Amino acid sequence: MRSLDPQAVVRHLDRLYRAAWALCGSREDAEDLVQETIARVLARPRRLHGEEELGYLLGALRNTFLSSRRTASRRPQTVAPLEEVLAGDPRTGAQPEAAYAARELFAAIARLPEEFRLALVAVDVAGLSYREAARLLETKEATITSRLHRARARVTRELEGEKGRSRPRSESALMEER
Amino acid sequence: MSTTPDADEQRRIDAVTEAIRSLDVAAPPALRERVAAMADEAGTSPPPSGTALASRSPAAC
Repeated sequence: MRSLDPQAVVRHLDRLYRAAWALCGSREDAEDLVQETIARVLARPRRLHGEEELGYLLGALRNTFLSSRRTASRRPQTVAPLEEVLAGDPRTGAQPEAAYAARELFAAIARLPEEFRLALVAVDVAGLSYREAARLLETKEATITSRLHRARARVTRELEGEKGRSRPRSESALMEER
Repeated sequence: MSTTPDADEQRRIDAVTEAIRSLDVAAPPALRERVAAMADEAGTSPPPSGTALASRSPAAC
C-alpha cells in the first residue's frame, strides 16, 4: 500500500485531459473536469491499494464526471472553433488535420452510450489494460471486451455517417443494438 | 440483426481504433501550469493533524 504522489497528476495530465475530452465531448468542459478532479484528489492524502496511479486518477475523473454531468447538461453545449483547438495544443498546432481529426473523434466518442464510452475511454484513450479497465469499471474483462467491440463499431459508423458515406444511424436504431 | 462486422467493416473499425489510440493531444499550457501549481502545493503541505488517509476508492473524492 502506498500513497498517491501529488506529482502523479502532472505526469498523467495529458492522458487525463484526453480522457476528459472524450467523456465530455468539448475541450472547455474537459479542462473544467480535469481541474475539478485534481482539486478533489489533492485535497487530502490518497492511498493506492494495488492499482496504478493512472487507474486511480481515471476513477476519480469518472466519478467527478458522473457526479457533475447533470449540472453540465444544463449548460449550453459549446464547440471550440478549430483555431482555438490549434492554439491550445502545442503538439497539433502545426497539424490542422490532426487537430480536426482529434475533435471529430472525441465528439464521436462522447456520443456513445455511457457504458460503451467509459470502456473505450479507459482502454483506447487512456491506455489501460483490459484488466485495469475491468477493475476501474467494476466489471468483468469479458464485459470490457464486448463493450469495446460495440463502442469501436459505433464510433466508426458515426464517423462514416459524418463523411456522408452513409446516413448517421438514428438513435432508435442504435438502441436496438444494445 | 447481426452485429458481426464483415472483413471490410472490421478493417475500418481497426483503422478508427488505431486513430483513437494514436491521438496525441496535450493538455493546454494554462491547464498544465495550474495543475503543476496545485501539485506543488499539495506536495509541500503536510496533511492536517489527525487526518487519516482517504479511502482507496476514488468514489470517496
